Amino acid sequence: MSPEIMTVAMFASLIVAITFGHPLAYTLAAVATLFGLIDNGWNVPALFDMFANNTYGLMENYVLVAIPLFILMAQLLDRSKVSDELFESLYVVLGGLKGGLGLAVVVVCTVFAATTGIVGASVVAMGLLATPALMKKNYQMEMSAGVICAAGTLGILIPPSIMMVVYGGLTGMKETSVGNLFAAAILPGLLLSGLYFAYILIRCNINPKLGPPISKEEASKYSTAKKIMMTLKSLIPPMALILAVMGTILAGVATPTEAAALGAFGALILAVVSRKFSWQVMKESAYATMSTTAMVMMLFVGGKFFSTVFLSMGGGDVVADVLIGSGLNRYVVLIIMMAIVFVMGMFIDWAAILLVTVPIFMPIAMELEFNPLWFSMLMCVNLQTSFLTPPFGYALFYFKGVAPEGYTIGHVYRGILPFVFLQVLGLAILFFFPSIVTYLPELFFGPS
Amino acid sequence: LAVGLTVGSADAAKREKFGVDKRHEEFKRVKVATSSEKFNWKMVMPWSKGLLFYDVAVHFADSVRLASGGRLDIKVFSADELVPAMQSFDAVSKGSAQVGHDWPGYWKGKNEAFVAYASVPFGLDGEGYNIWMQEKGGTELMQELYGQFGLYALPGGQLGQEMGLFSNKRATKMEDFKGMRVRTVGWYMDILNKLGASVSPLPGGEVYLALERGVIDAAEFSSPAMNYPMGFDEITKFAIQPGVHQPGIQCALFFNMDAWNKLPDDLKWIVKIAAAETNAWSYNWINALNADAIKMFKEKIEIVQMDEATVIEFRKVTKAYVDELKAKYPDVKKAMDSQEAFQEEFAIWREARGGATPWPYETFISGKTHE
Amino acid sequence: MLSKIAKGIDTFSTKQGEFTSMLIIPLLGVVLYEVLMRYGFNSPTIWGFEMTGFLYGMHYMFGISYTDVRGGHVRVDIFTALAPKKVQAAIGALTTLVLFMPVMICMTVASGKYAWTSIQALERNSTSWQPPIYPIKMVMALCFFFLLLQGFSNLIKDLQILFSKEER
Ligand code: NA
Ligand code: NA
Repeated sequence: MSPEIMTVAMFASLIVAITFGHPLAYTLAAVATLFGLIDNGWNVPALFDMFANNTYGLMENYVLVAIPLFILMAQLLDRSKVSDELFESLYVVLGGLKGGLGLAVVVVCTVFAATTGIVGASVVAMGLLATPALMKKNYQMEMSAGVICAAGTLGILIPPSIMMVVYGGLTGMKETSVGNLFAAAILPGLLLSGLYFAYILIRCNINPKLGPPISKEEASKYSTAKKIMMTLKSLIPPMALILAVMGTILAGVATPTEAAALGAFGALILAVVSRKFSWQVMKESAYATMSTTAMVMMLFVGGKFFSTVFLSMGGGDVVADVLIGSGLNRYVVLIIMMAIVFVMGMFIDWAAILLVTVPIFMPIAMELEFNPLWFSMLMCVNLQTSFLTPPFGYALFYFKGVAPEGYTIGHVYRGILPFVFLQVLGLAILFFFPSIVTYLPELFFGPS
Repeated sequence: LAVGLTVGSADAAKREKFGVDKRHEEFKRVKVATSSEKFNWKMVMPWSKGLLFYDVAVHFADSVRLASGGRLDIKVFSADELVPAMQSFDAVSKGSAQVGHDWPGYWKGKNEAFVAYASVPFGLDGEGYNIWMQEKGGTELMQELYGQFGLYALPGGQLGQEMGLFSNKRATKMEDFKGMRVRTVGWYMDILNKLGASVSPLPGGEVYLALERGVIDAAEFSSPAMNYPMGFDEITKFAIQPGVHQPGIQCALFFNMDAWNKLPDDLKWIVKIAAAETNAWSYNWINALNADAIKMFKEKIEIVQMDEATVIEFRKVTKAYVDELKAKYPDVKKAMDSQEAFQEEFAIWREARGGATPWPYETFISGKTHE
Repeated sequence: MLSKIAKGIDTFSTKQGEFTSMLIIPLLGVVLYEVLMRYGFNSPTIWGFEMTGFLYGMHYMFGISYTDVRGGHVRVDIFTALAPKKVQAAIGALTTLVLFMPVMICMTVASGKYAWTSIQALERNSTSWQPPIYPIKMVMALCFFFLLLQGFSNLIKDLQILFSKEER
């Protein structure tokens, strides 16, 4: 079979195979096995020796050490309930505005995005905490679902983020080191947060039924000074964690991997200080950490097998020849790559997409002389979007899992659509203003 | 030698040619046929595409394809495309790929002696490796070592001397190195530790940020041309010279033994000749680039020379360290004894020819006649 | 009998995962110790980075069968979720047989061979510390075997649903 046919057949087989609902990691490995054997003339030992090599290589990939540590940090943080207090203060501070509680969700999620490296925690925490409050105040159900899902996924974009760790570990380039990616993601994360904020404010001011303000008396429960004090006080724990992670990287105390450990340690201290810590909490956090880490890493293993076989049979060259050799404008090629990631994001998990597409797309982006960091950040925003795009969007499932009675997946799907549009808008802004991505890395680490 | 004696006996006073090309002796009566079978090989390596090492590997693959008219087509995979960087050796050993390119020191954990075929602190330089490998049994010793793992090996790139440490601390005297936080790996790490530095084997991907943020004071990576794209000069003040840890970077090409044995004779020769060509080409290519790179580094950072007493102290500690290794590992002893014997033998010529260093005219007549 | 085996495997996967999940504590400890020693006392260890790597590698490998028994491996089940339970079980058994078993059997064998090569050479890491790495490779082989076991358990459970008398 020619590499062209193999390339198409391999992706087609993957798409068909995943619909059976078997774990994605195993499915990737199985498709990789089939095509690996076709490619190497059914030499079973040679193929699996290569897979064993690859698995061991992942086991000693130092950059990825940050993954379990960031997950542990999120688990501990989640159990110490520090986000509750911030939401409660902002409830009265912003609640008086039209759409004010939605805005409070955006602010809380943005702050906590800077302390957690994963997505599940924020969506679940806000889903449990804010949804009942929003429902009680007659917020439109779709709007509530949309804002919690969208803002909750900022955790994977705003540093620290395991997505950046995976990305950095995958490319192994200086330009896209974890430190650079962290710095580059700050402004895009804030940009998206700002877009959500503006959208809620505008929509709710046009149509207050979507998000009515809380009553005057409820809002004036506390004096302005008291409100400010409460807010500031509840901001101390997350700020301390931001300092522990980004602060230690920038101050030269720790490498990004080590910063993950400092963050986890900080979250542990917070749990102790807030009297939420016990051996039981530690055990539950450890169990959940192991489960999530192994899920990500098994996808890494399956995805690695897939991309290895794909590159081995010349698939990377086929895609590059089609995209570059077609003589298309390089920006058109970029948009095609982004569209592929976006569509894959509707069906497949972010890590699987990253692991399959980055080894193919990154060399193409390099050959077309795009700024690697900028290109990577477009990919990351696109992958953050994959959490939100129906039908298969993690954040949507997490939310549905904890939403109160009466929520259907239909509410969630309808609610998220405007936010998916905002994601695409955000992507377009980054496309036209690359300095949003490159400004902070240059400021922190000098021009590359 | 026998040929020389019989012909030489005709006139005892007249001396015959001093050397012999062994290959010509062996093959002058052998007919070579052109094979027709086509081979597709995969090549793996620890190099990412951004490193010039990768280009050396590609050069070899190109040479083979060109010389064989495509009968042996080697597809090149950079680090992590087929297997992770440090798994290249196992992948070729097991036959997942047919050929690999490396710096043999990476396989120190499989046998300590691999380092001797890669670069030894204060050891052979580029010229030294070339002569030792080709004429003094180095290649045969190396093939014996790789052979233990089901591999056939050839010298596959000689990239000359590395540069010293990029540093934010000016260090020329012995006491400057005490407590200095340095990133390096391998034998040199142990040596610097013995000299009182605090050495950390930071993974390659973390070096830049660690150096930039002051997690470490100094780091070495490779030769000037290799280092240039890394931009270490943007974040450090000094380059502490010379690069005593690697006077000569020797690379190797290694082949899965079964795959190698399956090659017909003409393709085997094409591979051997392409390897030798790559080895020679790489030395010239890198060194021309090194001069350009150092010139650009000099615009950003100060090039500092360690003082003589310090370098001598480094040399002494290195000798003691290598002797320890020789006592511990028989394969290290075999390789190092051979290299040291060559260093001794060659010293007389090095001494005799000294003083004709091709410095520019003005430099030379100012009295600087030695390197 | 079969259901006992399945249950036994499930319990084993759960227990070994809960036990090895505690590796996160030494992992955290070693990284913090390294930062403290380097930044606080200017004396980095020669073993910190490698130790960290080993703990992380073992941590996630031990986790793969544990995550499986918890149903934690992500899957695209939006199509199959709508099907009746028996159909789901049939698809589950089929995918385990076709997609999972061949790959994981070969992975167990290959990683076993890979570890064996390393054991024979008493392979060490190519670093200054040069710790032995064959134990890590043994863990890798062992964990693929654990995952394979868990796959058998999943297969048994699906087949039991498929052939149970109960109408669903
Ligand atoms: Na985050
Ligand atoms: Na999606």
